[in-house]
Amino acid sequence: MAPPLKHILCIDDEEDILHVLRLALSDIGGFTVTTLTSSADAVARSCVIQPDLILLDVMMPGMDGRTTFAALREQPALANVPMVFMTARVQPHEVDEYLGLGATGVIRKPFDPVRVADEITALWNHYHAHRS
Amino acid sequence: MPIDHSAIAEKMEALRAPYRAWLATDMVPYLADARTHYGAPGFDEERLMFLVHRLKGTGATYGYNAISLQAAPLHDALSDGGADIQTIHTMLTGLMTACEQATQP
Repeated sequence: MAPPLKHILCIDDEEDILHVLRLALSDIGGFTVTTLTSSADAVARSCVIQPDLILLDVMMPGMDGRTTFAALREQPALANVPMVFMTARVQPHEVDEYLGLGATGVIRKPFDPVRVADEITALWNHYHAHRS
Repeated sequence: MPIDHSAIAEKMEALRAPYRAWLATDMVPYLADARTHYGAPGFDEERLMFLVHRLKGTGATYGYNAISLQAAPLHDALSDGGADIQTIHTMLTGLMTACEQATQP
């Protein structure tokens, strides 16, 4: 059985998206939510924040989602933290690419604020079911 | 604990209001200007691409599906770079109209 998902770190350069994610994941999902708008900031601070799961935008200026993903994975404290990409690019070959990098799953943008907490919970449970 | 749907709707509306204001005061005039100047020397296509990408990602998330639907093909056309100016103008008009409609009460 999966441990309870409590703390989600959301990384997206668009504050409009982070506002809705906070509402969706905190008010609807009941999770603790930390948001960051800078991927560099995320790389520097994620191991201190110690999230249970990281939700990561793919298209960001400067360090994009893939590069950020790799930089986060290199940190021992984050090596086993499931990471989920958020993107509008969800063609099968694109999803395969994200999963190939080691992502736990993909949330399609634009997302439904009412359903996104359930989608993330399902990915969390799937991750732990396959881990054990 | 059960979800208080009316409180959620109220909070979502509190987020939508400034989003609509941003559409009205920033995006609609910007898209009108982009429609006029797209293709002209010095036009900042990177900024257009950034804002169209933002509209594509945020429109439907804020409940305005038409914005994302209009922005997605425009973003693809700008990324591919193969579309002619008239096609881009038509797409910009569609996106601007969707933004205008979202700002209507």
